[in-house]
Amino acid sequence: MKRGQIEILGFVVIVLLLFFSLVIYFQFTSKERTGFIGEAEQNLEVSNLLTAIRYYTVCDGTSLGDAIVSCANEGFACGKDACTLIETDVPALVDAWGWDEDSYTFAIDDTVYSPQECSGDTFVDDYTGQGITVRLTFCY
Amino acid sequence: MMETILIAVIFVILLVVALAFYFKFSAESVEQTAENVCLVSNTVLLASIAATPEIACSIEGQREPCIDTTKLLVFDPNRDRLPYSTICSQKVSFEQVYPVPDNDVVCTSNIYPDCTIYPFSEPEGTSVEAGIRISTPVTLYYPLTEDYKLGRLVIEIFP
Repeated sequence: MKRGQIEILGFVVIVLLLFFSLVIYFQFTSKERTGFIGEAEQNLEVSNLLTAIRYYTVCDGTSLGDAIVSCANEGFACGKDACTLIETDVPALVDAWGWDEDSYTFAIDDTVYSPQECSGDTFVDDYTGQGITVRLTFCY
Repeated sequence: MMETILIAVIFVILLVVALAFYFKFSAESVEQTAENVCLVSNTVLLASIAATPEIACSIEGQREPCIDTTKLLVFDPNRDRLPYSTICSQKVSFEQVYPVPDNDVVCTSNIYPDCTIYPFSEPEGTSVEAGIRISTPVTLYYPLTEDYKLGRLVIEIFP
């Protein structure tokens, strides 16, 4: 082969290498975006579920948020021990939403009221009211 | 002379193959980008729709983080457009999750509140095939009984 032809072949090889590296680059960047959307959705889910738990009406005129305050003060709600009410109603709500009992932790201050305490990577949301911090953690 | 023609032919073939791959990937990439933009805009919708004044709770002048179910009854899902526009079509509805409902009755003003599904936006021409479903928890407020229940905001996307 002549020198010119070898140079042309070399050029073609360089063009092809550039093309395939661009393909790999674009595939990598598109996967990153999908992960970001999933993370945003999961954060929103944890935050909205905690709000829904807080507002949920357990009995006439009493919300779970009220029961949580009573529980922190060792009081009663809906004619029952408030902490017992939390231990039954929060898992029922979370179960209805579709989370497994080993995939989340629900805590008032440092006391856990969910059936299990989860571990691993987490999404967390909390709120503080009347000196009480309520925290919902989702593990994956 | 023959060698030069041969190299030129090989070069042209390689160029055509490379261009074909490039345009195929480019088209897929554009479709993927469009799907991502659609998903992102609908995730934003998922986060913001509950705060829309037309359906959000307002109790004694104070806005609450919940959905007033009586306001949902006013919307005609086939006619009313979403307050936010996205680049793809979607169906939006609210469902009661807890207390666990014993039926799947679609709500109208005649049967409210003995129903569990509130269609919010279902534009005509929306595909009948199943789309991508995204959802998030919401608090549903029932003004007649002043009860709050756990609900689900569902967006079905058709990219």
